[in-house]
Amino acid sequence: MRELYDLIIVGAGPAGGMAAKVAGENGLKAALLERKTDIRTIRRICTMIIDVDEENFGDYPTYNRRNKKFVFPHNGFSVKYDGPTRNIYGFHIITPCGNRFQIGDVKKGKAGEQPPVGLMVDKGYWIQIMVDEARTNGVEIFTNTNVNNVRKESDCVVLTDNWGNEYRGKFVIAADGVNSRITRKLGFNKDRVFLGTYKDISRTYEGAEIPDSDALLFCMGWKVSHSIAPELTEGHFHVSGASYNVNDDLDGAIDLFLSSEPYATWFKNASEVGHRSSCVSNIVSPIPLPFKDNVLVVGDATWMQETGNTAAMALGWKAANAVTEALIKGQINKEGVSSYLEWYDKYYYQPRGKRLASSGGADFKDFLPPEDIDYLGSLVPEPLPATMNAYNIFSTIGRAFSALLPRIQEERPDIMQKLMAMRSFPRELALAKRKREGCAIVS
Amino acid sequence: MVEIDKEKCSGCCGCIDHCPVAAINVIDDEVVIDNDICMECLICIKVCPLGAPHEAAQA
Repeated sequence: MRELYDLIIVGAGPAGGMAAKVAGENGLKAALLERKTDIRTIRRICTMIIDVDEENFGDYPTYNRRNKKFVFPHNGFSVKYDGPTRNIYGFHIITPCGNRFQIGDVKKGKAGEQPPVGLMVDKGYWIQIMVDEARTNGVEIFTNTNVNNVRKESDCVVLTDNWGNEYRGKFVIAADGVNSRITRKLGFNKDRVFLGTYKDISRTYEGAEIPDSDALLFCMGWKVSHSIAPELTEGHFHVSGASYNVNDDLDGAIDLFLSSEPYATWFKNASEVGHRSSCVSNIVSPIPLPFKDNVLVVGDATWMQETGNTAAMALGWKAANAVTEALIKGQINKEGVSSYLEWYDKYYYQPRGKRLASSGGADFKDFLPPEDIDYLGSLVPEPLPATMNAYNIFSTIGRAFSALLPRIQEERPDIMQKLMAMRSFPRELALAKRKREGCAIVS
Repeated sequence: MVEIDKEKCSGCCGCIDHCPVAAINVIDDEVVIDNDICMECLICIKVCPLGAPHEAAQA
């Protein structure tokens, strides 16, 4: 029989990497299991941006450029990062004819008059830093290890990998991402609402010429959703196509998108570089209580999509500290890790998660044709205050358009009617469509 | 049986996550299907964003 660990962490992403780092610092007998061999290379599409200098689940993370570390002043921890960064000044929606709805002013940002709201980082390098710290502090790192099963025994949690090896821990932290197998195996998903299957592909281009591109650019009014994001390398851009319908031809959609204006002009001298990347996310509502059978759930495994790098780090940090506390108290149970569960409820589930659990409305593009989106996009020509926090982005858009409703009613009562129809579209029909067009994980 | 086109596969692991019987794993950073476990439900083909898994004649 294998040895008994205090803590086993599954998944070397932002949440698992952070949990492993803390387990090392706290002197736990811990292991980190990761299915990839090369942790440094990110293979799945995911955000490379760390939100800074605004509220994020109760904390106000910032980057200490002098000492090269991300600092979480409310929670009270920091993470070293001495790799390259690139400033991101906002989030822009580009309508089909090229109008921009701007959250954050890129021109002011580039001129030094508006601070960045996000820092693009070399995510693989940053995770590697955390994992290396964990290893230095005695955490055992097992790569090439796919955890495929979990079971609870009287005195421990047992994880089984694809090679037939068993790993036994007093506690387990599940940081195995948006499609977490561990949460599924423990039965968490029975109580979660299926909100759709989100399929995304991305290509990298060099040589594109894009105005005001130090922001995330979301392009609306296409058959599938497109976005353009700068990369760390100057002049390199990600172009993606994403959809909740698994049968959509995302490659064909990107080809069409890039041959349409204004994108055709932006990309006329561009060429594709590197390997294409992808991701497919099973979107289920956030977990209300991220604990079962001595397994603590962190990061995207507990959420629906994109807790975000900043939040994932905080979740991993808090969970590993709660496990440490439980071990010291000798409470190898839910009460032992209550500091994590109470904190998660206060800063994550109550303010955000609960609402996400009742989300899942009608698709914009089913109600508003491209020309209507152009009209709406033309109503707010000046940039709105910058934010990178997804929840603030939604509320900023909501506030801007609430104020404009009388004008829309006056100028375009037809569009007003469509907006009202979209708003009153029954949620169960919207969810049924997501189910029909998606592919829910069945076990 | 189902095979994965290595040229098309990005290694995103979406098929692994969706596989109901854990027949797909990452081995040495390559996505590999174990055809002894695979029950040919073809969910991997449905969810793959890049069209990497495909049905192939039995060897």
